[in-house]
Amino acid sequence: MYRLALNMLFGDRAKLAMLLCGLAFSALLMAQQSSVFFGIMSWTYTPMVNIRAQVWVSDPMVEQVNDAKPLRDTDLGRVRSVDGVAWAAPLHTSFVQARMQDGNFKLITLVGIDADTFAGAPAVLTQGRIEDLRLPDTVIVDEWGAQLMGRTEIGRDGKPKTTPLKVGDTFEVNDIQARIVGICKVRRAFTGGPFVYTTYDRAKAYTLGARRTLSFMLVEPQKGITPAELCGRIERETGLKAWTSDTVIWSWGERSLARNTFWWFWTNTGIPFSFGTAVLLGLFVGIAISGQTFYSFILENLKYFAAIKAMGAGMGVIARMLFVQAFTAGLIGFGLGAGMAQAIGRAMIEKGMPPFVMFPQILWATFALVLGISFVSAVIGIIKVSRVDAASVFRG
Amino acid sequence: MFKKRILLFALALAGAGAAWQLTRGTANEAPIKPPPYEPATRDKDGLIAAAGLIEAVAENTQLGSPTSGTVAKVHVKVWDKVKAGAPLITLDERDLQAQFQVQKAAVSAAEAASERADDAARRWTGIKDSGAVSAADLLSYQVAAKEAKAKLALAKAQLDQTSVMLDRLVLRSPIDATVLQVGVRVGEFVAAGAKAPVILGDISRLQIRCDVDEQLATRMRDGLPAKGYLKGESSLAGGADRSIALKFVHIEPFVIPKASLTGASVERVDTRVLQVIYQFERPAGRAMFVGQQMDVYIDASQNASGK
Amino acid sequence: MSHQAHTVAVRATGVDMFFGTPENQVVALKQADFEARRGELIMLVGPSGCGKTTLLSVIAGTLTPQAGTVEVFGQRLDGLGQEELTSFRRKNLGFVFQSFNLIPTLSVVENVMVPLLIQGRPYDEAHARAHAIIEKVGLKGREEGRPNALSGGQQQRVAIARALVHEPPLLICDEPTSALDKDTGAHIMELVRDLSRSPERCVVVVTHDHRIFRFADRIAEMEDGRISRVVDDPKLLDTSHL
Repeated sequence: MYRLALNMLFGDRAKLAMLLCGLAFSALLMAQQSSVFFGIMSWTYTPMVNIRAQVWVSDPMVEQVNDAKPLRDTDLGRVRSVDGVAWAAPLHTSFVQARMQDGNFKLITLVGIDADTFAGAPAVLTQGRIEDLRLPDTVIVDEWGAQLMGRTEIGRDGKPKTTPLKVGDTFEVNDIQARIVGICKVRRAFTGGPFVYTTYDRAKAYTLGARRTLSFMLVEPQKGITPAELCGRIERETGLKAWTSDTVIWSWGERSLARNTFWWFWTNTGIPFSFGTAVLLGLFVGIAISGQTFYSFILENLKYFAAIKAMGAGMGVIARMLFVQAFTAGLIGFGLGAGMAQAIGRAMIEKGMPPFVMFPQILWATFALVLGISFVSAVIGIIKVSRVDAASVFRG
Repeated sequence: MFKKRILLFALALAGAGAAWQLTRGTANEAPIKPPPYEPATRDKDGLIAAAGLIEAVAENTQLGSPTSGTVAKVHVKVWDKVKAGAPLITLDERDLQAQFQVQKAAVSAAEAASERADDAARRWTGIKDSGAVSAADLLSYQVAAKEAKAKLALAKAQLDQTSVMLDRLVLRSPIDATVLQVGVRVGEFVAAGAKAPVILGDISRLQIRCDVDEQLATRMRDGLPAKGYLKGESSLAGGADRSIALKFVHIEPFVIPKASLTGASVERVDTRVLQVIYQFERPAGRAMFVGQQMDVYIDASQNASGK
Repeated sequence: MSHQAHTVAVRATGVDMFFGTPENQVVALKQADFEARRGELIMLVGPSGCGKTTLLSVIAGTLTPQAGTVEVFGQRLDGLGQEELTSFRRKNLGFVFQSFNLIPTLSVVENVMVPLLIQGRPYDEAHARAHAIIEKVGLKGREEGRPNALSGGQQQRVAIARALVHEPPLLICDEPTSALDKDTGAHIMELVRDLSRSPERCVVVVTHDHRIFRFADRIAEMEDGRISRVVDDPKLLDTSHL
């Protein structure tokens, strides 16, 4: 009977196409919308992605990576004195206004890294050398920033044309010159504008009003010591807060700064609500569409199921037939939808906008939802068939 | 029909597979790479980390001027090795020189006057004939001679005073040392007791002043061994041990406020630090300068309480 | 076979059947008595709304009457639960419907296989038996086609094949010819008569198509929810109202 059930499903190409379209479209909506949503949300912990280190140490009151509470310079010595620390480097992060040559102001994320080791330096430089940061008044900006802070002119054709900043161009931070010696490729952030890297000591000069400039310390554990273990030691011995740098947000790990940042934004800002409603709408539309098509599919077959029931098929058999049909359609619909979502996602990742992060959990949730829709539709169909009077088949 | 069905299944499977593969790609971040330049890495437990600043042994002498004046001549430049007593800076001495000449003339005049008075007294004293001169006149001559002598002594003393003052205009090195900094140029005005125009030090042997956070101070003991890593030397060939062995000298008795150097006009107290002095031999072939920073790791693992 | 009890296939006694609420009742069967024998083809005729289809449903075990007893091949149907009724239908009944009720998304042979598969027979066996009976109804070569591609008469042949493929002792036909023209209807009834005739099988046909009365061994006429009379010869019937 299951084979017949499948044949019934695949027999009507038009109906099958509609059914699969509905399911695939809802899977696509769910997966793609939530991927974009989580993409945007994952921008909140961009510093953790752009500045890579095993362990981050911060003031104990820090809740998330974008909100640094400055430390004392001597705290670096205290952290370095903790057993298990291989090395520790200072890191400055702050949001400051940069003054362009054309007089415009742009908010930037100023990152000061240790000039000695360049710990925390951007991984990919498309232009320039990191060593040039040791020259006076030098910075490295990211590609997005180079574009954003570029000079915009009205071209001959009347359209504004932006020339991105290049190596050798300058701007000012707090009336101090910043000369670009490199362009780096880093991920965009949710807050604070483009990343501008300079040395830790120069960052002090750029943020001249600041009483303390040590935002974080990047720490490497000695061999054989896990980051989490080291975090515990640092917290015990210094009273500072130590974080692991993993970006697994789907865990209960209290130590992950990325995870805490993510959920901080989740609970403390309206972002999940405003973006989340769009995702939920997509979800509802998807559920409605696929549920609707599935239901109409079952309604159209109701007559035949009634005949089968009259011929002596028990409800158990009919239920299993409906489940086979529903789950087969659900599986194929999910596969097609996921395929489309990932194709769109790859195109988005290629472009870099909008952010697209497809967590495995998104895929699993979509899978569960599509199968759930299938299951509910099948159950509704089963109830319908069970209510149908077998005698009804005799009446025309 | 059957083939189409398999095709549909395959398509769905491929879609789900590609999506799964994408989830592996987007959720994982770049691996953590070591920094471009290898940092000074701790290799054992029980270390106290401190920030060190290189200075000359016996500390740097920040020479001040005892008098105010305009700089007339600078005798030395940085890196000059000077002996004790060697002149460094001469202030403008023209007015004192003029005074000196006047006083010198005054001494000559006083000498002449003294000689004349002396001569008269001697002459009148040698005349035995008591009638030729009265006893009172004789006494008067003798007193005049004494007075002239005293005037001469005064003029000489004044000359000496000016000479000493002239000498004070020349700033001399109190020790055998190397000139580390010359802060004035000819023609500049130097106020007495103001900023040090010249910094001297013995840089044949350098020492390090380490700032230990007060919260770590309790772990500090006399005589602990230490290692230093010079800032900016991480670009040395990787793997080579660039640590510098440090020899304990003493712990400063006072815990002092550490200045937070913000570049602003007012430097503010940030925290308190215990200062510990270490000495080291200048390693051959490596440039090292006074004022350079060093990452210092003090080995407190034995916690041997010094002596 | 010689015993009376064995020759009776279906016996319904004093069957009451009404629909709707007690205040607004529609009486379908009222003290209906009906009997069909093994080896015969009996037709239930009567005007619309006389209760033919209801009686058929009761015999087929798809409706449970409010009163009276129904006995099919010695098995009492009243008092059976849904599960047992389903199982009874599965084993003993073949259906031919007025509107064929073939599943359009399945091929001809798959439609015919349905009763066997419901009984839990293996697919291959069901396939072979379906093929054989399709050949008997004269549709060889159309097995893999869709029912919708066939004419009405051919579709009803498929329905007959489906009704007989599992060799049920009781064949229930509900207006099998009403959707067909005269000649086709006659052919279908010939087919029903030829294929279903066996000493053990009872065929009950509900119809108001007097053109096919000649195929019946006996004809039971219904009026107002009960059998008014049973005749052996269709000529004895007053067909003016049909």
